[in-house]
Amino acid sequence: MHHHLDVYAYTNGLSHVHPQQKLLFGLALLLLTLEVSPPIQGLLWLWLNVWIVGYARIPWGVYYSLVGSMAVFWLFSLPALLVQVAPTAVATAPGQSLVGHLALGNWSFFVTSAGLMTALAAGLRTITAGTCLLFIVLTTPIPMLLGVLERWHLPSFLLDIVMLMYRYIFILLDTAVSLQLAQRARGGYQRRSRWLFSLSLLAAQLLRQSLQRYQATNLALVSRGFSGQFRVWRSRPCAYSRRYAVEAVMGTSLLLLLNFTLA
Amino acid sequence: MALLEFRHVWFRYPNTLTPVLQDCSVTLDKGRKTVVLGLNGSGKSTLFYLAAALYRCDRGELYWQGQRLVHQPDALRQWRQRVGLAFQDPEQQLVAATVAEDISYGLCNLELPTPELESRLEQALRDFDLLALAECPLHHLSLGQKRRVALAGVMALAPTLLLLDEPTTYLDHPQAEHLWAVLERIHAAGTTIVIATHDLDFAYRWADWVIILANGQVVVSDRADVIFSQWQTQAACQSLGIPALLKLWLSLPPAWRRQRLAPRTVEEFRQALGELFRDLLGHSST
Repeated sequence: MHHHLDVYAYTNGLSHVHPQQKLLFGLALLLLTLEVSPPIQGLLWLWLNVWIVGYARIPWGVYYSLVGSMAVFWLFSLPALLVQVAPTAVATAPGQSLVGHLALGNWSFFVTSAGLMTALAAGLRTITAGTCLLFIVLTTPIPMLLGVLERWHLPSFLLDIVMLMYRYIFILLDTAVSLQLAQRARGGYQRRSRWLFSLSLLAAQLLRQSLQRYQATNLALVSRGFSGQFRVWRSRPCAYSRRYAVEAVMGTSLLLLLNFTLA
Repeated sequence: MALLEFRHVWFRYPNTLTPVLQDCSVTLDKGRKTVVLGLNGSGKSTLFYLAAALYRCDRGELYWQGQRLVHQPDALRQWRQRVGLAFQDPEQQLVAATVAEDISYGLCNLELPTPELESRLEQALRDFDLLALAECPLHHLSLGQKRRVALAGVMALAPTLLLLDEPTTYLDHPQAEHLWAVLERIHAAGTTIVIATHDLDFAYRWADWVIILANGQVVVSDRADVIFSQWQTQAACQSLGIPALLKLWLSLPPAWRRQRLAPRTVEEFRQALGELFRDLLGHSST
């Protein structure tokens, strides 16, 4: 999955658009999500679908599985958002608009309509905000994002760490997959008792190999003249798109206008 | 002319008992195509790490054209600029996110002006047939492509001496053939190349100088034709195996091989056989 996401970032329908334009658009929508009312958030999410599935041509199956995985996190947090516990007398007091109610002795577990609205609003906001970040991740390769952030004068050590993590996360994943295959080839993970043992071996091997990789990287950096700062040349092959800029500004303005109108 | 000299070098890795290199003295000459042969654990990679000044020897000295290596930051930077090292595992060598970024990494460390940096980067991409992959992330590449990127990253720094540790590991036959073509080009452009390899057939046809390491010591360092002509009688050589072409040559009756140097390429072998048959036919007709 991770490899696929990375491939989409390089091959999507918006890959020719300047990364700064996409990053600004994504961040502007993220800020908008945090400010506007839930109905506008819903509209914003639908509009983002047009950008991601329509313009960027990300396969809808991939996109909605990612949205679905965000929704799973929200579902896990639902009990904490929805269910309240109080003495039955308080729970059933007049003025409480109960949606559901379960009494256990003198105490009650209950769901109010206000709590339901809060949970739905949180879900909508979470998914819309997550989709704004998905838009950035699915349409812009990480190295290009780093180039933009460098121009925005973000601390270089932070960018160096992100770049090294990006470089090595795939190596780590490949190593983990290879190790797991090697274990399965010799009967690992077949029984429940061996499953945990195999997993612990995998973790230990990954740690050992990561340390080896760390030492090797040190040598590689030194052999190529590392002088304390990780500097690379970054190309700027993309152009700004007037058409998408106009649509982004008009759409955002319309959503803001609707938000003020409905307020 | 001696480019790099090891004089009585000893090296032991921390927390190990036995030195990897013991009283190792060897000279790498300018313009030569040298191969370093030896069994696993004989010290080939360590020799390269020391040559690139990545490790510091416990005893002994290294000299670059007669000048002793001093472990001072400026001297080390200069030394590492002259000696380019391509690691055995290209994955180990690539540190940035995309092909162009990785090749530019060493150039940025040289603090070159942007136009020169861009021109050297483009040249390296062109030389190693990587222009189309310039913006490609490294984890999307095949191992053969990664090997080319690693080499391009080293060659962009224009080293005088290029050390390649097992360059054909992980490469399939066409990729290995392409790599040899690239190395020929680099050598023709004036770079001295030293290769550590287990590929005897390659060593046999490519090298003009051979160094054999055993148990951390240089047991043989001589011209390739001399070494290969005595291959059967050298104890150190026997443990390494025998190049296929040489084996074929040695399987011919000794009387047929007399007065002839062992052929180093298939073409030379064909020519030698042709001459042999002409001699035999001439002899039988008389």
